[in-house]
Amino acid sequence: MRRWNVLRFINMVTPVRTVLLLPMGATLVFGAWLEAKNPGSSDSAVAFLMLLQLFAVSTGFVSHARRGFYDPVLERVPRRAIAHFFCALWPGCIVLVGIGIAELIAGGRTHALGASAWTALALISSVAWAVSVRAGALSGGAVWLLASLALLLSGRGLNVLGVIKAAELGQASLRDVVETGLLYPVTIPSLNLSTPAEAILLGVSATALTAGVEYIARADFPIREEQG
Amino acid sequence: MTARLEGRGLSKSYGRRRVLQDVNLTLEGGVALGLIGPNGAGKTTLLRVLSGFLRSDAGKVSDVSGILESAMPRRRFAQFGGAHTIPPHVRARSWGILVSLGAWIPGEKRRVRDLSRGTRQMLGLRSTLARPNVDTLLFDEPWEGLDPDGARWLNATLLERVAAGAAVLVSSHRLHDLAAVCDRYAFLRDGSLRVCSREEIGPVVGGDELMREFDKRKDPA
Repeated sequence: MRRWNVLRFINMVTPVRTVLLLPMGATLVFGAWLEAKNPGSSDSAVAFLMLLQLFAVSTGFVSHARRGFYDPVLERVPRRAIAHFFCALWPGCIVLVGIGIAELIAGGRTHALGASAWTALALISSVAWAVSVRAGALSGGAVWLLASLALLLSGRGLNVLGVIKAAELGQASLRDVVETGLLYPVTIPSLNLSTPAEAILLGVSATALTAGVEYIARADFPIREEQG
Repeated sequence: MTARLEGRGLSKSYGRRRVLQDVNLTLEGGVALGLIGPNGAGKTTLLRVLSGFLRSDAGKVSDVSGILESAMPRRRFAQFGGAHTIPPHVRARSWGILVSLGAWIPGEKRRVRDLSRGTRQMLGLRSTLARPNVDTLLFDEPWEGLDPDGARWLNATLLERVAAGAAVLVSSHRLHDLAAVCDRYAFLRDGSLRVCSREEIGPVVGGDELMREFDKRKDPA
């Protein structure tokens, strides 16, 4: 199977669910509509996209591998894992670029094409994907969202709105920004990240991606019936 | 005969359960080897270790180019793991286009889960056999769900491939079909493997003779 076909094959075997693709498409339309109405106002569409991406990228690997679904992919296992990640990632990238193009056409602030939005997409995608590799479809998004909600409801989380406001004014501390980004990833595009904060969050993202790929490369996936 | 694929000292355990224990197996070009064993004997595990889909705890798998890495797909090699290894949600036509790269594309537009068991099996077998430049074929329960015509087609196809010099390993409980295709038989029980030629079993080898051999190994006393 050629490289291109490996991506097509994995996309066919482990597609992003239609129930998530449809709202992602709607988010693109919503973002474009917001930009047409009031240039520079698509922040909420970008935040909603990040929320959807948490779940879209959590496609799961182990359950499919243990049924032999990836057997026809005659590629080295790490390449197979990276192809699996890209197949989960692409819908979010397309919608973010689409909202960015709408922003450029509207002539307002290019929020979706900014470094913060792409750092958020990278972090959310790699961490949620890595969690779902073993834990199963949708698990990455569910775990992260539940943890964020639990912290928020318990009152032990950070003062999120305060940090966002301080970040807008360039007054938030690096620690507050990074903690907010990790605990409430949906807020990252609004955090006006500094270069060190971006570097830390991208480092976390790269570590999560490496951990997911390494797990797939090192673990064994016996067919369920055989293991007994 | 050329050894196309060779496993030496292969062992594999799942937790405390030892499935393969120091298994040695050679697949030669132009020979069909039948793999026989009770349920849970480790036939699928052995096939997946040889295929490079599973790591063995000990032992090596090699081909003409040398020792093969664990969990790395083999070249010039095709494996059929059963109809259940085809994702049920994909459309048969899309699967055929991608897996067989156009060599055999089914007209069937339904999803795999909506096909009959035999059609699913046929889809998997056709996809495996359509892979180009293959000289080693591994099949796990290939006759499962096939009607008599399908079974006849499969037997003829396997014999053709063997005559053309391919090395074939077939695991099945359908001993009559195995007897129609295979030249040698490997009995797997309690993690150990013993290979017999047709001559060792008797002048005529059919399903009944294989069943007798299988029973002997089940209860050596």
